[in-house]
Amino acid sequence: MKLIFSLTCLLLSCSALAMELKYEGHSLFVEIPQKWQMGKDLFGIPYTFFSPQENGQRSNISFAPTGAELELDVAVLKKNQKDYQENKKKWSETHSATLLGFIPYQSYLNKNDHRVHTIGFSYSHREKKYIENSFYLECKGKIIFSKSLRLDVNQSHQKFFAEMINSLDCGVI
Amino acid sequence: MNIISLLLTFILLTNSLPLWADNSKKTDDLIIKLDLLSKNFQKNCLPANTKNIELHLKQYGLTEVCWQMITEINHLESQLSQLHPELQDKVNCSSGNCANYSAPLVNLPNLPLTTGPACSSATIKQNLADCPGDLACSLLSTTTTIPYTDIQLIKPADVFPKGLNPDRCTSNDSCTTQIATAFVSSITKFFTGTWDLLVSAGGYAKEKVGDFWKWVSSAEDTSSAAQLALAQASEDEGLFQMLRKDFTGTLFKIWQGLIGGIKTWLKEDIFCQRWEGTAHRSKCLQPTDAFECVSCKAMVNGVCAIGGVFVSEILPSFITGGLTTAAKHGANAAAHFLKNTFKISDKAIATIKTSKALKSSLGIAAKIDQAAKVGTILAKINQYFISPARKVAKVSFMLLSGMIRNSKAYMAQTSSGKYIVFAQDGLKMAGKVALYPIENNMTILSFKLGQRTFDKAFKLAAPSLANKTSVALAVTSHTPALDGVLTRIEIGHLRKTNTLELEREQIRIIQGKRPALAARAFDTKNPSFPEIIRTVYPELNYSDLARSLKPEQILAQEKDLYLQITKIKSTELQKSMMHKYQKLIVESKQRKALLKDQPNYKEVIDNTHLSPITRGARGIQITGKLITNAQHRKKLEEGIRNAMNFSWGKKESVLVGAGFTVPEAQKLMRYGIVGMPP
Repeated sequence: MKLIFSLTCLLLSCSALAMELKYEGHSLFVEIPQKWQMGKDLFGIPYTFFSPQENGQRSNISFAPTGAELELDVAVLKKNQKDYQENKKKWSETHSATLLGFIPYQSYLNKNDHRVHTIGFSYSHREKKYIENSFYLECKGKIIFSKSLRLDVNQSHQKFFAEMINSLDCGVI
Repeated sequence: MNIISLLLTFILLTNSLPLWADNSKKTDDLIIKLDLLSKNFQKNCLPANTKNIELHLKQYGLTEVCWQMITEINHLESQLSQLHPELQDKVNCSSGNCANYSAPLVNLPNLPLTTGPACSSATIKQNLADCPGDLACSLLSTTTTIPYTDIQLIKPADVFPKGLNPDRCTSNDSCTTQIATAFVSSITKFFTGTWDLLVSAGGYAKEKVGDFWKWVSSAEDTSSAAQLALAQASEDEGLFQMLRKDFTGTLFKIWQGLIGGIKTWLKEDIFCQRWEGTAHRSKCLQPTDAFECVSCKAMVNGVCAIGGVFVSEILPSFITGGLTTAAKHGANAAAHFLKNTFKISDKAIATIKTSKALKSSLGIAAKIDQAAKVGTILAKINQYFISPARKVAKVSFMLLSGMIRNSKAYMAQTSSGKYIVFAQDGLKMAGKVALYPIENNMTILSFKLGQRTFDKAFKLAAPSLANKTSVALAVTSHTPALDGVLTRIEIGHLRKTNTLELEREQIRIIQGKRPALAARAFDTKNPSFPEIIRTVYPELNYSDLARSLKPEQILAQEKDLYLQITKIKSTELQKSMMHKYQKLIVESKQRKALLKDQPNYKEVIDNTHLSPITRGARGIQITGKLITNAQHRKKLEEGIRNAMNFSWGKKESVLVGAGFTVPEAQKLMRYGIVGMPP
């Protein structure tokens, strides 16, 4: 696997850098907040971005093209979100986590007019509370995956996650 | 491929085991067959450098033999799951039931442990000294064996710690390699490949994506675990930057920590001799001393014996429970692990505790009796289920399932055999290919015994030809009835069966239409001369069809073709076609054998245009007459020139009068030497 990264500063404001993320022939465009650090291919995830450390931990958000060509139906995903919840219950048991609650399924268009499907859950692990959100974005008929994770106390990072998902656009997909 | 066919035949013939055979024997036989089949599938059915199996299958399909292998693997795994019901969820992937390829749990009978260390303190010391080398070697063995379904290979230099010499490593047994491979793959490719189910659902109608959250469950699980591990690592800036900048470089430390941790965990938890309170939930008061004598190499082998639990439960819980600690502390990580670092299910605990193979691998069993052999056989199940070859076969099977569900499948007949192929776009098959649409798609994956060939298993619709030439398209668009018979003739050729009756049918269809068909064919871009012969003048192949006809019928078609060529407007194309006519028809050995002494139309035309002097010389050459002297030659040549001036009915007597025999005179007339035959 040849991982190529190119950085294009299209918009240099005080808050974010527009970056092109290239991975196995796919490319995505995301505006990354300044001072966030990038990790490549960690655990096989193409791109992960880390916030500055706050309350002892860095929040992170991953991006990955899935390669799946699929059109998603809002009503169907909403109706079947219990499948997601069942899976998270199992995951929590396997990983010694305590499930605290679910963030219901939602769907919206981001600023590039791509449909975003998002869902999430909260859990505690080793006495720390976490908020995890999954994002499935429809772009040119293909699905792009993203997931954010932060400590419950790092509420301030949520707006960065939202801005990144809002800025997400696809290049070569 | 013949060897594979023999192997497959052997396996199919020996598939029905005698009733008296016990489960162990049946299991052993099944695993041997599965191992052989999956390795052969990996070796012979996909090129070694295939990175995208799905793309390969779309472009080249799968041969009948490979199809038989992959369905036989599925069939044998079903049989195995009947012997071991705990495997059922892991085996049936075609319906999407198994979200990942983790290994099964196999329960083994209990075996008592040796109490107290059974080795000297020197041995214990030596084990500790050898440990880094043993673990590094086991890890090194994976670097060349990670299956090609993984996109990126790890280089030995990336994982082998400095100061240890890789040349000291001896070849590891396959199980050790596979366990270490599972580790490397789980860590570096934890997330990769988790989209298989979602990708295979590609093309589903929007309202039919009801299982979406199930399809993404594997990716959800791995990304949640990986991102939690990364968040934990970020608490220690040094560790975080080490993982971020040199992820694969930390593998050895993680591996050391993992194996050391498992050893402590087995000693103080799984095999604890006495608990303060509830077993596995309270403090261990009496760890098993026997573990002091276990070398790191034996430890890796021991983990192999519980490969199913290792892959399906230990590794995932370790990612979030101990990976960052292992990356930080390496060999000393065990002391820093928490109670729930290796949190596994009660079922898995029971499996490990009763694992005879684990205890015998570790050398901590009090006695190895006949039952130990049973344990060894069952441990092979785990080895098989985590083997790279099985993974390749299963990934291929899963992809095929998705492709069958989402696109039209065909049985392709080619000169090199039969294939199952998918949507015609992108198919890269050279030469003639007949495509039979498969009508019973939904039953494709459920082969039954005795129905393992395509012809028996599939309900095939009327075939069509792939890679049709421009000539074939032109003539069949003019005469659609020709399409079916031409296809059947080609299939007959591909199957090497007799096509005489079909060719007769072809002649009946093109009767009276040949000039129009030939004109259309010559009007196409770069018309192929052999294709024109095949589609419009099949007699001129001089094969069985020509042998069944009278010579004058063949000659008439040669004449017709010649005349059609002379009507081609493009001078360049006409010249080229005439050259090919000359090459294929005039110089054909088959024709010479079939039509002795029969000139073709072009020869006749050419001869009628000869000059008087050349005509005489050519006539003598054609008859092969023996010339006695110059005067004899002169007389014969004058006879030929003289015959030109007489009517067709009198030419023969003129030639005979000049000295030719009657057969020689008739031959000269047939060849146009004395004028155009009527």
